[in-house]
Amino acid sequence: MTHAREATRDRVTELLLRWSEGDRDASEALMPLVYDSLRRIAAGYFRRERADHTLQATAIVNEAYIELVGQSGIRWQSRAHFIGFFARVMRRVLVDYARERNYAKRGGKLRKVTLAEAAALATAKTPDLMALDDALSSLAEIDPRKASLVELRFFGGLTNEEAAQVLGVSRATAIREWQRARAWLYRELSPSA
Amino acid sequence: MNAQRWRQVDRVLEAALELSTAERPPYLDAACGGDAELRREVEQLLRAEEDARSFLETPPSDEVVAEALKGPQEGRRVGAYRLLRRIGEGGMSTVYLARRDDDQYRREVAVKLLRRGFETPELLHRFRTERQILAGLEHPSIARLYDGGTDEDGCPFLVMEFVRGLPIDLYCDRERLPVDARLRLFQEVCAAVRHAHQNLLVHRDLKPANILVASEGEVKLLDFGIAKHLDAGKQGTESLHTRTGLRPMTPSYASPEQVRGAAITTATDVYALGVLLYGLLCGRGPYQLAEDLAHELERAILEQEPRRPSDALTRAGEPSAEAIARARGTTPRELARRLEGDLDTIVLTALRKQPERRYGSAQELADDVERHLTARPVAARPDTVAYRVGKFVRRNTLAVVAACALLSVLVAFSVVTHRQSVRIGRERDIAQHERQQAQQVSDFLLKLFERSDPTDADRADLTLRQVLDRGVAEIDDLADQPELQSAYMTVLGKVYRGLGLFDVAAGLLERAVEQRRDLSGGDHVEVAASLNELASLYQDQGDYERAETIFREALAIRRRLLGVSHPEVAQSLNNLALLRYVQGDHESAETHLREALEMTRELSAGEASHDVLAAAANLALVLHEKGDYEEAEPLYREILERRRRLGAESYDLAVSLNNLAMLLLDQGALESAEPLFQESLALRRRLFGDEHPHVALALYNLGLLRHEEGDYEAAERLLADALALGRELQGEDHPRVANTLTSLARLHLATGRVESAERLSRQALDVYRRKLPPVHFRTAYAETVLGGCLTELGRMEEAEALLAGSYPVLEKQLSRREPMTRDALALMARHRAVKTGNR
Repeated sequence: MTHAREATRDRVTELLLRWSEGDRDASEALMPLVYDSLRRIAAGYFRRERADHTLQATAIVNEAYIELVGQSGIRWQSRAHFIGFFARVMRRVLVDYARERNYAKRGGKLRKVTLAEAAALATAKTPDLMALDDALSSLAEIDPRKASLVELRFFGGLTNEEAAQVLGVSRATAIREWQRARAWLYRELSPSA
Repeated sequence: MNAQRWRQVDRVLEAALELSTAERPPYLDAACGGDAELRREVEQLLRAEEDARSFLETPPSDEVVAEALKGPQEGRRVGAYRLLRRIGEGGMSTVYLARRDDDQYRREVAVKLLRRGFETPELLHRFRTERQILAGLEHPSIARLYDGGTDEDGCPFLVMEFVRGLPIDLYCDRERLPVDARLRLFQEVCAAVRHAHQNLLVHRDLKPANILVASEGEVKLLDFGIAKHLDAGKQGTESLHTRTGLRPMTPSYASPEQVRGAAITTATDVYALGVLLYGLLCGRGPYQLAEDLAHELERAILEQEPRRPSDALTRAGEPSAEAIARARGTTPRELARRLEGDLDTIVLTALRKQPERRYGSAQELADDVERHLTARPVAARPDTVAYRVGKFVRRNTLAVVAACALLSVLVAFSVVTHRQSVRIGRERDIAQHERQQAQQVSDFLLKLFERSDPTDADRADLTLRQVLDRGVAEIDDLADQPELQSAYMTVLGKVYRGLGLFDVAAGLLERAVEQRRDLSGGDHVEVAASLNELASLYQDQGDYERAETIFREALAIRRRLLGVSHPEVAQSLNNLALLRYVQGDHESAETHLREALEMTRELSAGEASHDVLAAAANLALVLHEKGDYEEAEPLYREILERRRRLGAESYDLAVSLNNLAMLLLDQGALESAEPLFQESLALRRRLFGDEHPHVALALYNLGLLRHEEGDYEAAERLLADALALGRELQGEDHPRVANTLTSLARLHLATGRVESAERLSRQALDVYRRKLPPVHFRTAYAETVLGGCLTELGRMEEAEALLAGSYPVLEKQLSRREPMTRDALALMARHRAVKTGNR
């Protein structure tokens, strides 16, 4: 193991710790590291010319974790933090992507959503990611834990069980919180509310 | 909402979610106290929770995640090229404007990249194929391939000529090109396609988005992404593309063989060129779709005959005919005139369903356009007379009735002639004479058809009418052959009757009767035949009294001349019975039919002849409506069985299926009725095509079944289809259309859409009151349904008047077991319940 990589790992672990304590600068420093790692890993997945290629978020996150934090000396918290951060990165990547696509599609004009469209989006399987992003930010202001839970489950692709572990709550609690978070977001995204 | 308030809401919400729906209100009363805002908030969220069960359960798809992770491509270097901006996106690839990153050339190019997440072996293979294909093509109207390779991530890319231009349809509209200029551009497209074909390539995805016109007006064909090499052995692509499930195509431009997944040939591109030309000329698509759904379109591609472009133009739609004409520098009327004839024919030839009936190549298509432009006769021929008569018979009710009448008359002639020639061998000369006469009548009629202008044939009834009018005008030419003349008038009268042109028919038939009486001294089987026709006509016109007198006169002549037991006597009895039946006199109808049935059974000595089956079928129908299900059912089953044994698919078989199914439906045996309805529907579609009143009826009946089953959605769909079809084919004012309106009204009433139910039943009543005799069970039932609607709307007095007024009619004309009668009883009961509840 090279010295440079060792140094990166130490730095990532430290940044993760600081991020979990609410340090915004840490997040800014961490983002490009994680992002690049995810890109590399994802690209690797797709180069393997498999007909049944599936991108499993948990698989990528594991690979990225090993690359960035390493196997040795894993502390439970740092892993939980890492997964939380990973979900945050995925959220940003996906929302940016949606925004860019949308912008390109509408010929550069900001789009207006009609009522009917909004209703359709709210009930669609994949919601409008930009609207969801906004709603999720509002939720984070009044109930950060529910917002994290949604981030982990929807953007991070975690199961209720995994998300409960990361958040340090029981599975039953995670399920009930998810139910309410989803109701809140759904109402927030419904047009007539 | 602040965090503190939210915690309050969240706590109540959490508890409420643990409770059953019934337990919630009392809990909320207690938990919210007087805080109405809190309660409203929680209730909203409880509702949202129910609706949101599947919300956010599916994370973004792998493709999206992969594509998103790839990040913005602009500015990236791919091979020797720098990507500048995204200019297009296909199903599996994205196209960027790019520039060579070294100083070698400064020219702009288009770089096509496979989208991330799409690197399956199959798509990689297709990408490579496209490269090979493009490398083999060199034509000024085909965008050139410069280069290709693999980027740093191992993803393949193509570098192509960058075409700064507009899709051909937009270009034409923006430049307001007149028809001639559009045709010239189209010829260039044909030339490019021809070049591809000469290289054994089928493009398979010709559409405006892939055919750009640069500002200098030159055409460039792009995107051979799903092109197919005809020399499949060499390229090894065959198995890839013809595999089921993988049928790359653009629906609007797909040919029938693409939709079906059948063999792709150069004719596939000819078809797409036809769709393209269609749009360039008249600004619309070839098919009229009830709904803009993929499967709807696919069905149209397989089954619907495209409208003629000149017709499509004038049909209402977006954009308006004015706007379309303006973009061609002309007026709708002028444009339609310009398209009529040659251009209609050329486009429709390219769009034929069977590949082998289209133009043989893009070149032939372009050649015909050239002939048209230089005012020479085009090579394309409208479909042949026989083909069109068949097609038109399949599509057009009136024509079908007329053609059936015509055919049966022609057949009857030959039968009569044959029979006589056997029976009266001694008078062979007379027989000979009659046969000749029959032959002459047929020839005369057929000639009328052959001489009709073929290009008018699509306007079915109009052309038929013209043909027949011409026939009437020629009657006087036969004055020196009065026998032939009267036979001819009888046939024509029958056909006019079939077309519903009663006045003309009456004139002809009355003249024929008179003339035959004069010729024979009054008593002759042919006089009886003409009388029969005349009586049927009066019946059609609703003049039942005169009809009965004349039917009886014909019956008397036949009995006198042919004896008490004879097929023609049985036919007269049958006619008389049907007349009594439509008058609502089921009893005397039954008596006549039993006599007719017995007679035909004897005459055919146990054989189940057509006549026996017809008589039995009519008797069964009457018994059915009388409510005598026990006797009707075995009769229906016997007829169905015999018709099945005849083996052939016939309308009679479809009728038998339908009638038995209706009987079962009326008895509540839904499960046994369903397969029969389905079989009847499928058979009708095979016999008559999708657009036919017989099909509308089958849809309608199946809709009734679904209603009975409680599958309201399916019922609604079927009834709406039947309604649309009926309106199109039979017009707004047909009593059958009104029947569908009534049933739809009943469905809406059953599903709580009372206002629309009221509207629909009023529409139906409006038709019935104008089209049916003053006292009729159909009218009465529509009044009953309207009464039901008014009950729900609380307009009790009006409702009561309608319900009380209509029930006696239903009871008198239908049996008590008939569903309409039973339904009336149910609606009256409902009325009483609402009324007493109100008090």
